[in-house]
Amino acid sequence: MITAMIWALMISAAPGFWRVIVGPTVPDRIVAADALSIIMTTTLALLGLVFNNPVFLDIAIAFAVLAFADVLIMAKFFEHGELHL
Amino acid sequence: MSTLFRESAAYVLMAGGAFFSLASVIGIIRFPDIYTRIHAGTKALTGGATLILLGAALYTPSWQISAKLFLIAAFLMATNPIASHAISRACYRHGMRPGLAFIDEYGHSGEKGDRT
Repeated sequence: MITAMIWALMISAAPGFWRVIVGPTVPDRIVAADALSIIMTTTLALLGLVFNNPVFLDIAIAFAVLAFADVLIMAKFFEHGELHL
Repeated sequence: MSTLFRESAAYVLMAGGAFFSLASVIGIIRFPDIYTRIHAGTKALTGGATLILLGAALYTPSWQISAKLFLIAAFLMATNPIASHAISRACYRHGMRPGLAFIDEYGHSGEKGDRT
């Protein structure tokens, strides 16, 4: 049943790659990739329930932190053209 | 009996979260503007991910895994609006104006040169 939920999540996330590929501007791609990364985080949490292994939850926490920093750095770079850290 | 009720509630929560995730992805594909796409990718997706993680925390019997899932949900609820706000502010300061908006209240404060 959890496996069916993971399949539903992945099938619902698959059309988002269309916006990542053909997005007219750069922020469209950033937003679509951010949405896909959040769906990926929840999928990792559900995989931890399927395999009964808490390592997947640690990977999900690290993935959420890295995706957040990734989006912030890409937005900063898109705003200024270079990184003003 | 209690286990059946708990797992049923968890499945209902997870199905709602999957529906909100699907609605968010459809909104990102179908909406016409970058700001409306940010709107679709922020609220619906935060709610959907939180619902799925709460359902998973209700499904598992051990409280350590539930605590970790609550931690992931709290982190997503804290950081996803910040990331979306950063993207929309970068879009506005890069020069992309919202073409569908009637009132642009950020226009007066954004042109004073307060670059943080």
